[in-house]
Amino acid sequence: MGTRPVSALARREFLALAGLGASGVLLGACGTGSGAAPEGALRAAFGQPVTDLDPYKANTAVDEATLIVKRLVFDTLVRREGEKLAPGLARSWERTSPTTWVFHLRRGVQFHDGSRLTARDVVACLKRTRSVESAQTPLWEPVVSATADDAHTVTFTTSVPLGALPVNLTLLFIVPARLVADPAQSRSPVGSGPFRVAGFTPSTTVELERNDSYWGGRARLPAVSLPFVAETSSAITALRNGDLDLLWPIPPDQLAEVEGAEGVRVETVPSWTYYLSWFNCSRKPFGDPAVRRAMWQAVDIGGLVRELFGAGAERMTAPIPSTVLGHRAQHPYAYDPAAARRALREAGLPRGFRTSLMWFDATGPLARELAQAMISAWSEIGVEVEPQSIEKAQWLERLNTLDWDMNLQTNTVTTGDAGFSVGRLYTSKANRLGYANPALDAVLAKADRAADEDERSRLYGDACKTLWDDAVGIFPATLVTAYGLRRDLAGFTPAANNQPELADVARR
Amino acid sequence: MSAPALEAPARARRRTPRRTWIALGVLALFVLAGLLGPVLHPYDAVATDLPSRLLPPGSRTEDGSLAWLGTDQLGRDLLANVLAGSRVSLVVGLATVVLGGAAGLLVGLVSGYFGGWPDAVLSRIGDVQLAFPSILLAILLAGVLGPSLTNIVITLAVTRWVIFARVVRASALSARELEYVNSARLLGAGHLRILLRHILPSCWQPLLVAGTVQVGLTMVAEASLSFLGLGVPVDEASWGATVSLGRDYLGSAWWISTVPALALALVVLCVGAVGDAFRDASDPRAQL
Repeated sequence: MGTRPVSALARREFLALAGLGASGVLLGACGTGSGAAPEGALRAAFGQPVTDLDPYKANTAVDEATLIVKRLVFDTLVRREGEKLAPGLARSWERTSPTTWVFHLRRGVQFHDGSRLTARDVVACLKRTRSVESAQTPLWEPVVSATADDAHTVTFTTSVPLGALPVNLTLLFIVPARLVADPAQSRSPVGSGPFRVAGFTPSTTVELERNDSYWGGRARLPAVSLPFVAETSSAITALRNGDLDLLWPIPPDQLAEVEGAEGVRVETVPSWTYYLSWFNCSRKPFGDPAVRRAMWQAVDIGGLVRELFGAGAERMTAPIPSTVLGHRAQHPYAYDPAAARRALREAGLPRGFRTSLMWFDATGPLARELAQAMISAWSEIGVEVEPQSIEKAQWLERLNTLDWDMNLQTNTVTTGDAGFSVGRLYTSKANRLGYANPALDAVLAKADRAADEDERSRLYGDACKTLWDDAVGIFPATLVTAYGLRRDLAGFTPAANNQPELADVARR
Repeated sequence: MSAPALEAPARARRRTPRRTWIALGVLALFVLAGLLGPVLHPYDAVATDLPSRLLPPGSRTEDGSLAWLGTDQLGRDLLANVLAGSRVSLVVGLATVVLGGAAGLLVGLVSGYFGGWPDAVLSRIGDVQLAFPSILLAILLAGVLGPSLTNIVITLAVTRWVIFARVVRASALSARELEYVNSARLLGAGHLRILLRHILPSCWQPLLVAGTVQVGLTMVAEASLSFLGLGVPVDEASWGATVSLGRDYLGSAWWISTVPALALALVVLCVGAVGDAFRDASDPRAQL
């Protein structure tokens, strides 16, 4: 055959390129190797990467993946246990006047670096979170000050009566006062939680080891390893062959592969995570509620959720999931493309219009499919939508600067309380989607103030109706989160907010 | 392949191996599919048909039509997708080679014919670029330029021109010293005339051989970029993108990734086979 220099080079290059594609798949799998994890560690993988561990970093203030780790490494004054609020670092609390709350701290709590928790730490943490402009800011705006009355008593003063304070405090992670602004907190943070950080590589893996002197009793497993596995198929393979102990959320289309597998069981829970597709109300033509309603009518939400997600999701009846406090069911928008076309005509858009929809693929299961199915429905009424599937970092940047026409994402009502989503996102001041409604602002402010649960629930119900009727966005589906876990795990409870209590998990 | 030893050497040289004919046939089909496929069986990235999602090859969809290669996760016909993808592959492969080839030809002629400092500068630039993995460079460029068909062609052409430039430079370098070129120079012919009339003709053949091989590699590069989400935009079909989106379904709906991957492998293999044969036929030394 003779020598063939050209084709030899060509083949090598071909293999290199073909290998690149394959290595993309393999690299994802490498994360599960977790050679550094100590013996007996719980290996748990969540669908999104952890990028930063500083509890006061603006970008990750409400980031789901980050919150999972924060709940294990830090403590909060108040914790949520099921439906109820339970004492955390605060032993007890009382409301001494409509605008003052007194919290009594637990004694003898030690941070990972050996220092003791005092009221000064709590005060410093509140100051820090108020000084950082983040997605949590609206929750803390009414809190004027916190003062340390003695070493173990903190008094919070609010500008208006704030009934939601204990709920909001489930998001205030406590660190030693001298470390609140320490840049080292991003990589190796000091907290007081059941686990301490042993190693962290952003977007790759978090290694946690047990904090043996934890005030709440030590965790049942010596360590937790949280690798990020970018490829769903790699993650499922890892779960099936035992490289992973726990994997969530499992996308609806892949559930069948996990359910039949040996040594694996699946637990599901109706979650507090839901899809929303916002309209940028400050951009034409979405300033007109009639156009927004027409966009909603154009999509067969019921059929779409059923066909795409099956048992993996439920159709939404309000702008928040039905299991969240403050939910009130609304009339679903009927699928009626003819009416939608008519409404566009009356709004002065007889030939439709062009716009765009942005999302990042990892936001939730079937995000891309959901986006494309809606775009497909909108094209039927003459609205041409450019699909913009972008990187998460770029998406965050554009979302926060209101540089988008339509935005599809999942959102988790982390606290299980409408105040976290409805109260935080839709005020004129928060201005997350260019929507301003003074009447709604008044209702939300009132709900924030109310101490009585029923009163708050009723007011948030009113807010649900306003948002639904004004169609600030399309609210298609609440996800049913599927957790896949090895059969030898015990003590696991599926969590509605994607943040399961991993300290209680043990091996049989 | 195995020509009888008794046959005349001249005939053996001319005989085209059967695999080349097969490869040419496959390529002809591929070109035809790229040209006519999207016309006969159009692919609409926007239209979705959720009740017919994830149907295996040979199923009937909701509206009664036959999905020969199955449907994807949005109920779109995979055959239409693969046909539309073949057009993207074809366009990117050819356009990149033409663009990169033209740039390489120009640079190669200048540096091979003039030598001296232009040659030194251009060749070192080429060396620097070759020292850098071409796919990394492509990822960088594609990331900066953003996803579009034109940008992919530009990106890949930038990563490919050096290869063409080197081939042309080598030919120009040897042709420059030939006696008829020296004669032309002595007769007072200008540089442009010598380049066009005497140097260029000897560069065509190696350039074409390099181009044939590069077409296949460019297709793989485009698929790699699309696989990584840096290639064609969401609303255009690309084999690489379809493989990428189907990989979560390898366990349940294998056909989504497998069909475009097989198509890509087959076409690149055939391009390689044809390129080999072309080189053998054009290079007398291959028979020695």
